[in-house]
Amino acid sequence: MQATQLTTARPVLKKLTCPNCGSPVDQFSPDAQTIVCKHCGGYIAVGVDQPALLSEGRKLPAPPVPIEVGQMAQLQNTAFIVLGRVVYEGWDPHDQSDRWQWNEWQLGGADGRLLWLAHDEDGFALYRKLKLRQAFDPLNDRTLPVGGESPVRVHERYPARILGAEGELTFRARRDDRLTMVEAAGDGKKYSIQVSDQELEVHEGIRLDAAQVASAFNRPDWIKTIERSARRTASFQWVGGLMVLFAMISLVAAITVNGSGDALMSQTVTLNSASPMTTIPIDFGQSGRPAIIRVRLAGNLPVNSGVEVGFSMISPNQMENYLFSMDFWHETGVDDEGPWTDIRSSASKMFVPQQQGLHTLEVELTGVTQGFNQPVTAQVTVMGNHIMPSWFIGYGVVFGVLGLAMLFIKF
Amino acid sequence: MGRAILILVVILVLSGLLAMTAFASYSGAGLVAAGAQPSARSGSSGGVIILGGGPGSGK
Repeated sequence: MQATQLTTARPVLKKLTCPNCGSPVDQFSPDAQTIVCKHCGGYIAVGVDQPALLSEGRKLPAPPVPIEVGQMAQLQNTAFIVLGRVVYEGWDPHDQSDRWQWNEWQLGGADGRLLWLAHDEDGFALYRKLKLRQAFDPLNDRTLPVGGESPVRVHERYPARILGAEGELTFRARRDDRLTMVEAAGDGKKYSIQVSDQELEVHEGIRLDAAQVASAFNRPDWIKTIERSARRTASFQWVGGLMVLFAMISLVAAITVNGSGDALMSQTVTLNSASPMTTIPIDFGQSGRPAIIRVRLAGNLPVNSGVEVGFSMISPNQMENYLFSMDFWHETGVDDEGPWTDIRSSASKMFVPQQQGLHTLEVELTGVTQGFNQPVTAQVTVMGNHIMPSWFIGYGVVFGVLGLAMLFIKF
Repeated sequence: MGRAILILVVILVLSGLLAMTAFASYSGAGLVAAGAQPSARSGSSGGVIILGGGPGSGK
């Protein structure tokens, strides 16, 4: 693809008058069947005795890329001119709120070829018309009989309509014309089948990247924009990749430190309403390191009962701090899904001893449900010098999600 | 050149944050502390209280 001039002064084939607004309309292409009036947007049928209004128009959304009607492009060693543009809207037949748009520019070649340059969320594709040699049922067939070595598989079918158009088109087009789109792919090519009440058209396309198209249209400013976007995308991908790498390191660290720590003591305690508190001596060899208190009840509580156990710590300087409480329960009931049972007979919580030396852990039965009057026996285990995995998990999740998002951002 | 500086800065920031994360994990940042300063509640709660009854109360 080589650079060529941006636009050309095209000779006017025929001067017409818009049957809708009376404005002058120039016809450039002898193949045109529809011309969209620049002034009122009306769709005018040409190629008949008198231009006839096919439908009224509406303001067309701006093209997503700087391609305009009348511009020249050098594609496949041939000079092409942009004859017209059609904006389509497709939608999910099962969810009509899911809608999307794409643009197609009709290109007229110096060698007489007519091509379509399509642009959607996947980028550009250049299509040429294809004749099928075998029958094809667009609504049911799973493969498209194009005669190649590899099968061309249909991967999408959806309804669509013409949202708007401009310039000249080599088919009869009206605003809101409905059609069924069938998309297929195979052998490195894309296939677009447009089915309307009157006809079935098959187009075979090849992908073009934006830089190729900008180069074909000889648009240095567009090429610079694309290059700038590519550099920005690459930078984001580098940063995203680094974030994912660090996130993985952090998550591996979280797995490694999970369950870390030294067992400092393990003791069975029995509490009841008459004697609700007991004390356990614990020697913390290091201060400022997380410690875990794990409690496991000896068996389940009676049905539909619960207890609350509180923990306080007396430090070597006799400073006493309430730490937390743990709830245990055994509940049953019936809901819409039938009977249910919910049991909690073990729990663990963490704290940080800020002093070194012999501490006293106070374990106290602080609450019971109505009618509960039996002793509660539990195994209390204290681990010291723990490394918390939760901060590593937080780091890993935050930068993992951020990094993956940046990896897939495109400018 | 610009991208190399960006990558270097990102590596430094991520490394710094990972180091802070490691320190927070090692020192138990965010956990309740014992022995740093007296807490509002100390000693026995004053006896066993009756918890709110009924299924689901403990959840």
